[in-house]
Amino acid sequence: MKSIVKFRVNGEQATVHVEPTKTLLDVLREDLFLTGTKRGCDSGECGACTVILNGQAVHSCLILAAELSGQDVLTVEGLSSDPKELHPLQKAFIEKGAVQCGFCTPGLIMTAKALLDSNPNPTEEQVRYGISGNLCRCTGYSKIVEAILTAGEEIQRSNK
Amino acid sequence: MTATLEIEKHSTVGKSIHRIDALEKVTGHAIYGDDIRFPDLLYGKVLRSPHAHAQIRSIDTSEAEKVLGVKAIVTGKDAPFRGGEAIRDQPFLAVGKVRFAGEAVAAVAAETEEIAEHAIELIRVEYEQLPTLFDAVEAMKPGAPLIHEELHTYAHMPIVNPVPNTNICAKFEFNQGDVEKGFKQADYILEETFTFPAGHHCQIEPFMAIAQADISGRVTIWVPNDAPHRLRKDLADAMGVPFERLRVISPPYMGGGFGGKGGLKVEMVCIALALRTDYRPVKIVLTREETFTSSLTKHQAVVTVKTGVKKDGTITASRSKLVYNTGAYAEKGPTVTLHGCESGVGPYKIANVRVEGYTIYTNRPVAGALRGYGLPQSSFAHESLIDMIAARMGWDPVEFRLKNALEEGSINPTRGDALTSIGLKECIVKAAKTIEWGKPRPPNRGVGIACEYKATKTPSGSAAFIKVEQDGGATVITSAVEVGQGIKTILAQIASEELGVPVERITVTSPDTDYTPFDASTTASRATFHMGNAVRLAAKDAKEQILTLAAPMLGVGLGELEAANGEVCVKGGNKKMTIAEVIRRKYRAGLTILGRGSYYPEIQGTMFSARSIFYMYGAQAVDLEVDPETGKIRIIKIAAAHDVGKAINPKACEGQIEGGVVQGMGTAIFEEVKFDSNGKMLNPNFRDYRIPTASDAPEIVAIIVEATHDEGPFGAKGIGEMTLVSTPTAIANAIYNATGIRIKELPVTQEKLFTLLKERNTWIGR
Amino acid sequence: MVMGGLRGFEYAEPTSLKEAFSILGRNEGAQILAGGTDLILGMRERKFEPRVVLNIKKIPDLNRIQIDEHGRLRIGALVTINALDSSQAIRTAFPMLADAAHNLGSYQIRNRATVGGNLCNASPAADTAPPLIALGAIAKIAGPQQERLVKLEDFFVGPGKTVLSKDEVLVEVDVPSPPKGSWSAYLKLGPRNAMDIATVNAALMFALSEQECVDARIVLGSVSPIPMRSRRAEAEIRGKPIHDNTVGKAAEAASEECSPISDVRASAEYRREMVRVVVRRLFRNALDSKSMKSGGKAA
Repeated sequence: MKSIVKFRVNGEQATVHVEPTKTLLDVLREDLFLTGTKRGCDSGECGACTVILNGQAVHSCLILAAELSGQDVLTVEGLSSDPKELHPLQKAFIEKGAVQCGFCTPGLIMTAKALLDSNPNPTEEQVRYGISGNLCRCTGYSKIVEAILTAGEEIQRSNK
Repeated sequence: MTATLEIEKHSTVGKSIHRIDALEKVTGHAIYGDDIRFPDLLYGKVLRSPHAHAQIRSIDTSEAEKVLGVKAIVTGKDAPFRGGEAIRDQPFLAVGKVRFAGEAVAAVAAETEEIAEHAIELIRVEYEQLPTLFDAVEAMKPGAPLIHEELHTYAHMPIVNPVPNTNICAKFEFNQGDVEKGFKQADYILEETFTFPAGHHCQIEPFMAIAQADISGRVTIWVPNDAPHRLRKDLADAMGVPFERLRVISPPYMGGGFGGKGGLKVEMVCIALALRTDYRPVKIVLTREETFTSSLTKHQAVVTVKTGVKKDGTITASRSKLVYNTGAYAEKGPTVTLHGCESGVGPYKIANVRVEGYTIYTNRPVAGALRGYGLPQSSFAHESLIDMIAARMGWDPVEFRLKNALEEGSINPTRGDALTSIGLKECIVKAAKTIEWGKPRPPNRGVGIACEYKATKTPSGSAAFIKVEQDGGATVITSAVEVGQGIKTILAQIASEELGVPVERITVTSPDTDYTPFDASTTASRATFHMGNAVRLAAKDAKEQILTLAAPMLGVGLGELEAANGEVCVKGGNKKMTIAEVIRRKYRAGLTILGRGSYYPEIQGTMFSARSIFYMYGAQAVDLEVDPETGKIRIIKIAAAHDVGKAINPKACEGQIEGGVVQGMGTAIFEEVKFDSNGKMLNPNFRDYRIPTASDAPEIVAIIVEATHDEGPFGAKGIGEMTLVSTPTAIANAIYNATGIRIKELPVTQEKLFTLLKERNTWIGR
Repeated sequence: MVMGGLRGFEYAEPTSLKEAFSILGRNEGAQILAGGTDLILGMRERKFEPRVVLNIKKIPDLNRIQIDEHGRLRIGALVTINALDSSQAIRTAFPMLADAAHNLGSYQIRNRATVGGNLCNASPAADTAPPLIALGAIAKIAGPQQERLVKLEDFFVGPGKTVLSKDEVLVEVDVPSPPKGSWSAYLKLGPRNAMDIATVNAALMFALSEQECVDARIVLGSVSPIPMRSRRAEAEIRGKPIHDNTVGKAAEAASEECSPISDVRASAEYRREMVRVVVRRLFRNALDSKSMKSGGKAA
């Protein structure tokens, strides 16, 4: 039986009418046309579906849409779509060459954002551990880690 | 020619400009196959065989047909086509029997995925199980049950020569010199057998396709496939229709290919459904489980190598037998085997070589083209043996390799052609230096090195157009596929450099076989070289047209003009015009300049039969530590040096090196597809098929070596295919250095190493 | 396994325990949804096929971490693994629990997975079970008729099975304050440095009195149908000083007492060998405060 779920996505009110079997990932991609968040495994094992829910990085494939009433979701589209005002993470990923096929990129950026929000000055080891739930097969992670550390520094600088 | 680097001033080639697709990808705007939608889309689901080898006695779809929302149901008889580039052995859906657990038996297209899944479960299939065959060596023996009884009836490539009434899909032989004489010259001979596991490429984007038939009898397919024109041909051959009845469109981006998303995979069942849905499009997206069981695996292989050396360190002879387990259908197994034979011997001066390779059918899931294309398996064996010989003779592994390494003008040990553009020694020396080879290390810590050379696919062709607009911008019209390697950026840089238009004004298309001209494939690390050449030629053609128009406008001869930065200028002079002005002045009512370029190396032979137009060289050195109590391996640092000819975009090359190294590391210590005794895959998920996480990836030093190639665009060769080849062997060699244990079977998991250490300790009596 | 889409269930969101009991009692095949990291995946793998999924996250008072003046810890069943990992108070007073939390799954999983879910899913490899059992934790179970307390070491019945009856809900885990001067460690061994289900995981807690070990608790995961206390190992070390010899004997006893299976992840023989290694390292880590910073990684 479908139900109406009202929640916030990227700062805006969203209302969807969904079966209980739908997940947050389904709703983002199919009902709200926010296809930036990707489906890689539907099992919470690859991280491509990562979004930020109430400030925390989560696998959207493991969250039922029905659970979302009144909650706050941030997807990669909510970071910035203005090429002149990209989020420091987006800028750093471009500059450091951390993007290859790009399929893991949105999930990674969201995990990284949540990480930096809670720990603005992480060590390399902390970054690597924090993004271990995001699998990447193209880059070997080196430039991704570099990008996240650089973005962290930039965020700190601009906060001063 | 190597080493004579021209000091050219390039405006963009050689610079690590930002990738032109990065902005879309970091903002979530990049479109991949599953992001494409149509209003009348149907969803397809596939019923797959649970058995590895069985006759299909009956298929009853009557209950499924009654489900509301089901629009089409197909089984093998509804799509009586067989496809396959190397050998046409694979039906679109199983016909008569199933040959691996996971093979498509029936499929449903319905209004929603849920309905399709529900309908699938109502289809009743009766199987009669047949004896299964999983081991390739067993499958080669006379009297083994036949996987393909009709092998002798299949059409195949000229170089593929199946042996009827056997499971031998193909066999290859390379002979140079006289290998028996070579062994007689040797002072020491060593022979060993090595095993390489079946693996999976694990692209993060699962396999998918959308297909639609239209009323004129055409079928269009949107699919992340690394060779749209090849796919069109494969489908045309299989379906017996002319090319123009098929249209292959690449979604703008692919979420990783590594060779797996090529040839015929989901395309077959998707098209089978699309032919029966009253012209509605059908989308199939494989689950991660299906992606593991039913797309493509990497060949499991058993390789026996025998090498002879003289006391002075010269390698006199090499003989090897390669048995590649290609699973139920050949896919590209034959050419993968061929390639493993061709380059696996190693980049050494060896006068006497004999390599025999066999591609063997079994009831395993289909194995085929995956990054490395047969070389990882063969290289692991040969390069491990090199180290074993060095150890036995008391030689330093780096020195031994340098002594025998190919040099400018050396003869290719397998094909006998004279080689040029060889950056091998520089790679070996730099990798060893970076890892601090020779520095004393504490117990349980070791270093290892391995090197390789790799051919590309020859002959193969690429064509491109460049369209220059009235306002001075340009579009590269190409069928090269952006699989993640950065080819769009590379082609933009090449076009920009040659044409004289700033790279920001260059757009690069995605493939659409209706519009973009032929490209053999985005595989074999051939795109930068072949498509790069085609693009460069097209750019040159367009530029010449523009300069020819400009000459009278500027009042000078054609030879006095050049183009750069969007302008046509007189060489060494002041007069100039923008390219836009030139075109507008000539074509006041509007027109574009169209440049065209085709590149097909001047080499005789059918596909894969010839010496390679270029070879890539590389060496990787590993520093690691073993925990002797648990067997756990901690990779500390990997120095990977690769000869790319010319790095068009150095950062992109680094990215390809770093990514390949971590894939190689996964193969070495974590990754193995496992099966139960019935052939069912036990770990079709990321939980139990473990690929390296960010916490596992070591420090990687990517070293770019440039031994330019006269025929490559700006001297470039290629990179992607080789960067994961040496890693497992370098790791195995480092484990030997750290523990004295020789690894002959991959992956060397912590449990495996622990067991080997324990056996060794027991034997030594510790 | 043939994975498929989620299907065939209704969703309920009780706002009180009473409502939850009622739904659980009325419906055959109702299952509790907390973090969803085990349930949703299990549903796709057809391991679970509930008819009703109850999201209990709207029930108040189930997600608090409280430490009273005696150092006794109460963890609400809905406390997330990440909350455990990032709680300064827990890191200080119950470091092995923080380590276990830190090593569970991924960052994203830890943000959703709950202590209650980890325990009720009852995997033999559950990360939070060994330290909680070693700490002598007590499960507080609420039901329509009554509330009951069950020692956590008696909570597990078999792989995937607990003592909960179909209309009961685990609401809290009570953890006594560790004895004064006690030492503890948690270790998890897996092939990778992150993300793995343990090959072997284990927790240790003991106190020393006059150089002799008292009150040792050695709890092993992944090597028997349920997380188990190795009583024989504990008996070996009790009353003895801690050195290589005595620890070695305890490790040996633990290795003999466990009953690992061979599965796609590891063989029984390897697991048994690793128990020996892990137990020895637990003692070493517990005593070496520098090693405590290893964050629970066994190797």
